[in-house]
Amino acid sequence: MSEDTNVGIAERIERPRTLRLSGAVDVSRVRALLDAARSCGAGRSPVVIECSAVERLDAAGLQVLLALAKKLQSVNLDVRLRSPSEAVLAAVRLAGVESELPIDERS
Amino acid sequence: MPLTEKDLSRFEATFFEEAEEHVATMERALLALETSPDDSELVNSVFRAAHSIKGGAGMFGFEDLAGFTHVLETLLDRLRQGRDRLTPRVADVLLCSADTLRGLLDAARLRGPEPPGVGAMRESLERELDAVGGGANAHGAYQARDGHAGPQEVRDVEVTFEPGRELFARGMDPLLVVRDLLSLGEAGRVRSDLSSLPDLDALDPEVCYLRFVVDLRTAASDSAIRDVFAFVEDVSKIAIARPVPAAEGGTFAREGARAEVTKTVTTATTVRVSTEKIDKIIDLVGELVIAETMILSALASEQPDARVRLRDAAEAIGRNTRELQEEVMGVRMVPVGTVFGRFPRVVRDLAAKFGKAIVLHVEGEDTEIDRGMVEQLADPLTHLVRNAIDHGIESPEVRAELGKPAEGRIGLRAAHQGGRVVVDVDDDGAGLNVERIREKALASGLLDADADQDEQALMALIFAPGFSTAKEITDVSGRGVGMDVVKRTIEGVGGVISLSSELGKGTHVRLSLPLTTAIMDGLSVRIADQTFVLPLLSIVESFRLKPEHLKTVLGAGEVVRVRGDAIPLVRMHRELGIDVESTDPSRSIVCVVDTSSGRVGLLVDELLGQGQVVIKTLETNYRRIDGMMGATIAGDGRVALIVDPQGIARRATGGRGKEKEHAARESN
Repeated sequence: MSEDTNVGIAERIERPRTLRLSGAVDVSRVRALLDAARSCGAGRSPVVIECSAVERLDAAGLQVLLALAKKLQSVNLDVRLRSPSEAVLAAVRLAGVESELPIDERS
Repeated sequence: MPLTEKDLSRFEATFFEEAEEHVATMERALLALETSPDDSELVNSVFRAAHSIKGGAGMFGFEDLAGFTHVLETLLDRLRQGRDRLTPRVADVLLCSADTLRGLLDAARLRGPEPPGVGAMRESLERELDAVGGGANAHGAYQARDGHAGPQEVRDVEVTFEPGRELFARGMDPLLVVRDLLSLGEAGRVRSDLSSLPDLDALDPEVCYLRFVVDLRTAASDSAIRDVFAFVEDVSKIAIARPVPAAEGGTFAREGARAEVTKTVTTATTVRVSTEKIDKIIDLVGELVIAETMILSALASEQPDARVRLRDAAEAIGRNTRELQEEVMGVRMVPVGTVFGRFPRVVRDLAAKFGKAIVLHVEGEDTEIDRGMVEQLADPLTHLVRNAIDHGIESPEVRAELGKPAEGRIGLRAAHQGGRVVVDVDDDGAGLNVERIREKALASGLLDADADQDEQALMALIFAPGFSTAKEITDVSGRGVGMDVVKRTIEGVGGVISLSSELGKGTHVRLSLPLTTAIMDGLSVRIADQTFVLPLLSIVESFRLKPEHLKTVLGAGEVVRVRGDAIPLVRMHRELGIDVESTDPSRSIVCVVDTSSGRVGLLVDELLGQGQVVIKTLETNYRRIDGMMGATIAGDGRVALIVDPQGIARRATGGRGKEKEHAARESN
């Protein structure tokens, strides 16, 4: 995993746990995303995914986000998308997972 | 008047039924062509069958089926015009095409995905076309009947897309496929099935666990929909279903209303009946209505002859009901040829596989048997024929050494015999090696070293679970998981299986089956205060028991002597756990019944009379009872259990200990 990828996928994790994504979130970088998601999922607070700078989200990337949402929902914590880019909105709609990954209205 | 969904599904059912017949016709004619390659009428019949399937498939919008049949038809047309000759390779390709057609028909019937191997089969056909100079494109692309791809009417479809797990690793994004799919129509809605998604900690991010269900309103044909999946179909599962509209128009019915897409081949649920039979049934129903009117009129009448008229009407009802029953049962009867028809192909393919030369002789295909029985018969017969090919018939070299004709012979015959259908499977192969059976039985503990078994009893051991004398296990037979299932299946429908064999000469298996599984002739008997029915066809004789004929044999329990033979005796009340006031056998009747393990005497209290009984399954309303084949409603409205002689004999011989226990209880 290159340094760039690491920075691009999960720039930092902050309170309330935010997973910041940017660039192409696809199968080529999905392992880095998984590491970041596991790290977020290990905490006991809800997660906000800041995804305004995501240029591409494919099914592999989406699958990791869904697995994170599933994990947190099992302990009554939710995952929300903040300022989703068009690419993110399109992927979520195509997969029909709006209810699993709702948009954070405070964004 | 527009066609309703019901009309369409009825027409579709007819299409599938006829298409199955066309495929069977094709297969028969192709097999016949191998021995008569110049018979133009045979080629014509194969062509006509393929053409009919193509026409029907196109009409109902089964584009995959129509497209495949189109290529097949083109090759057949070249054969028909004498531009190509039926070489063994072409024959193989055409026979395999018949299998592919069956798969496509099942897929169309279940609205399932295209079965695997269709593309490869189509390529084989196109290669054959190339070989005769037609070129792969000589047949042109299949055009739907209106010249456009697919039906034009807008319909609701539910497309299930289960991407292959390795799709991500291959750099493919299933969301793009979903996007393309949605572009085919409007009102699309996607649901992602996340049920296979593992826990985040166990997730392999390069494995696709997602499954998509897309509801779509589209004018695109199934074929056009499938085209969307062209690049992923080899590793994905795709199903196109037409959801049943829910109560509110325009919405989709939920899961469960959708046809399940499985590989299971549905059994035909329709029966084709000649109009002559239908007319006869309508006439009889008319007679019943007249008789009912006569009864009502007689009941309302105060004339002195009212009673006579009532009796006449009752007699007419009885007569008409019996006739109606026979006619209706006749509707369920189908020629046994419907199951025999598969064997020429089975024999051809397996003989080639084992390098044997075998000719199949089939007789009595027109013998009629209950439709339900035909379905039960197919698997056991297949196993017997496969066994004959694999173990029975020797290789041509061995046969030559033995002075036998190089070509082995398998016979498959059916005939009516004494109210039953008898099916014989025989071969002129190696026969059963009784010594090897004995050794194997001793080694596997099925036989005691000091047991003195005659040849017939030793041969019957091949029906024991897990028994096989095959030297090598093949994928056809030899795992010892067959003959016991064959026996159980045949006995399960009230049949009897028997076997004879001569070393070096061949083996003969006989299946004796009841004509129907729905109605049978029964003998009502009393056991204590309860009525039971014995199948009349199983009963050899019945007589009052004389105490001097009753013996107890060590290890075999009670036996009754009948003209010098010792027959195991089953005291039915003990076996069924019914308390009786008297156990004096001299006041009881012995009914001797035939079972595949020999004759058995069933001790009952009284014979009440015989008649036809309608068999009701116990499982539907209660549960299965070992030793009982079903139940019927007696004339007084009470339920009477129908005894399964095979089952009761098996149960009795396995439960001697229980019998002793009951006897001890009785003596206290």
